[in-house]
Amino acid sequence: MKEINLKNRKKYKLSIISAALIILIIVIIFSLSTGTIEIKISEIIEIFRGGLKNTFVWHIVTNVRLPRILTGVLVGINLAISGVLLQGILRNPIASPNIIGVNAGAGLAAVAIMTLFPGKMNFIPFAAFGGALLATLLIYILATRSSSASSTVHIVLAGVAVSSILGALTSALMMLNSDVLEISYSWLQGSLSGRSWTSFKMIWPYTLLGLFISIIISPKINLFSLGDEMAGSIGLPTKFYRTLIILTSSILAGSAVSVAGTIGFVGLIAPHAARLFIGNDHRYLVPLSALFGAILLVLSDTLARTLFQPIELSVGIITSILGGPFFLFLLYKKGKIQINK
Amino acid sequence: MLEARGLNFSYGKKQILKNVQLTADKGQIISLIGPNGSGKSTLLRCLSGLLPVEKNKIYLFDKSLDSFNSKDIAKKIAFLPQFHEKLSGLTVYDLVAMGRMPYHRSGWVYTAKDKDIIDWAIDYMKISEFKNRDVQMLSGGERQRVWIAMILAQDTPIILLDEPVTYMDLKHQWNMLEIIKNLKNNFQKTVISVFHDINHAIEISDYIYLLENGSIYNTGTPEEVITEKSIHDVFEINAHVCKINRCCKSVVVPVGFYKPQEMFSFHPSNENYKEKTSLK
Repeated sequence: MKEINLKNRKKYKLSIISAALIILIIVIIFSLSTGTIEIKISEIIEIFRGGLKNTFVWHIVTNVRLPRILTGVLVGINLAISGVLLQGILRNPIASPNIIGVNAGAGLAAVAIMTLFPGKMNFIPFAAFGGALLATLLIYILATRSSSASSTVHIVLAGVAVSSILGALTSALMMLNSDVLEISYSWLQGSLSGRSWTSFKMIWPYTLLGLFISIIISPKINLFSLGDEMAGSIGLPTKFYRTLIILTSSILAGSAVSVAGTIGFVGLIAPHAARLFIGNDHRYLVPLSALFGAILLVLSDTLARTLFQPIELSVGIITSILGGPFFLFLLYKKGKIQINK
Repeated sequence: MLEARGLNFSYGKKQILKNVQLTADKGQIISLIGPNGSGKSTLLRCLSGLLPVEKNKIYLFDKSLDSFNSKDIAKKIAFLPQFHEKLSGLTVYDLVAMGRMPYHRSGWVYTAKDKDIIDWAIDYMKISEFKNRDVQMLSGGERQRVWIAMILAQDTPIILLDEPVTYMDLKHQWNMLEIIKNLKNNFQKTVISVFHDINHAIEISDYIYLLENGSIYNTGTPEEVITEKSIHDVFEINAHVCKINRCCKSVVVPVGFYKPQEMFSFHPSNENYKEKTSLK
């Protein structure tokens, strides 16, 4: 009787994940069809079946909208998984890729290229990725140097401190070079505007790797919710996994930021929204957060490019405007956000 | 089974444990008692392998603890800390199932044997009626039973407990003591536990280790260790150690700093003693 109960729970979780996957596909099709030029769903289906080759509509779908949308899917997945990993091991509800310095590091590196080496704009994605990883590394070293017992707290604190220093340096660079203020500001807000298959190709290996690692080790992330000490006493090499997880989430968020700029909020709210539906078991939470992140990002990007056309808003603005109230709604509707602390 | 041979431990420059000798054999309940900061919890953590200790100081089944990896230790020693993280979004079953982690590479699949042990632990701790409930919804006493079920699922010969009854009401305290006794009587588990309440330690222990400033002040059976003198020396407080009719174990009744001369036969020449008594 109770055994059936447990199986039902599993079934329920899997059905929510399937539902999210279907919603994502619907959102992608909706996004493909909307824009300055409306494209009929029947035409999109025709194109996917291999028809309408080399027509104007075919060109828009396969070379303009599809790469942008799929890049958005991957960016959403990366940010969401990065967030869920960090919230899991740091046991901190406001943990997100920001906390390990990804945004601040990438931002500083990107703005430095824009202001100091304006001729090398192509180099921005790599610099941003590198900046993100370096910032994480710096925070990690600072945090683990100080103590091992409470290093999760130290990571959060070191993260806040390092991020604010890097953020200040970024602002200083921007003010001293006001000619690039507009592009640097828009980069810092995050945008998928004009992203092509090149961006997609840059990010997919990291998404695949990150997704693979996160799903494999998701049962171990559950153990971190017991506290580092208890996790250690049931045989988890906590130091190894903490390092692996922070590195993975830095690579995920860093690669996302490098193609889309610093998009805030997705890494924070996608995991929380997912948690409200299926609880804290990371075996299910990781895939559902990934799907939620992708849905949120694609939906936001569609709105960003269509709301005030021909002017495009930054997608980061929409994720916050759309995500914030949705988050608050969930918060009040479902009582409270569930997190381990 | 588990032994400390001349164990020292320091946090930075501060030495916490000095030359600690401890032996735990099969089916024994051993209590660690002592004032706050005397090193009981640190000793427990050293024994559990969670703290980095010098080589060849702790022996598990006659092999140095540092020759085991963390998974192998987790198959032999279960440890329950005093403070638990507040958990939510996990069911009782999920939590108990985590105890099987040392026997797994990935943690994705549970074998039939795992499921049997998990079900047994849940039944044994009488928590099956709420095994599908969110851990967050439980009361403190129920939650402690869930944690014990989890370390039972870990299926280890040795169990280390850090103040397992603190913050419980009287009934739950004595329930928990009963559970610990049964671990010994029914399954020959070795239990090493930190207690704050000396009476709890007397009630269930085979041996007591009384710690003072990181050293063992005295060790032996409860009757040997818990005396009015030792309580005064270590806890710096006066107490009666008495036997109440029909009750086979001694009971410690603290009386504070009052009138020590009338109640105790220790040496008034002790300078510390004069200082302490003037404090009142």
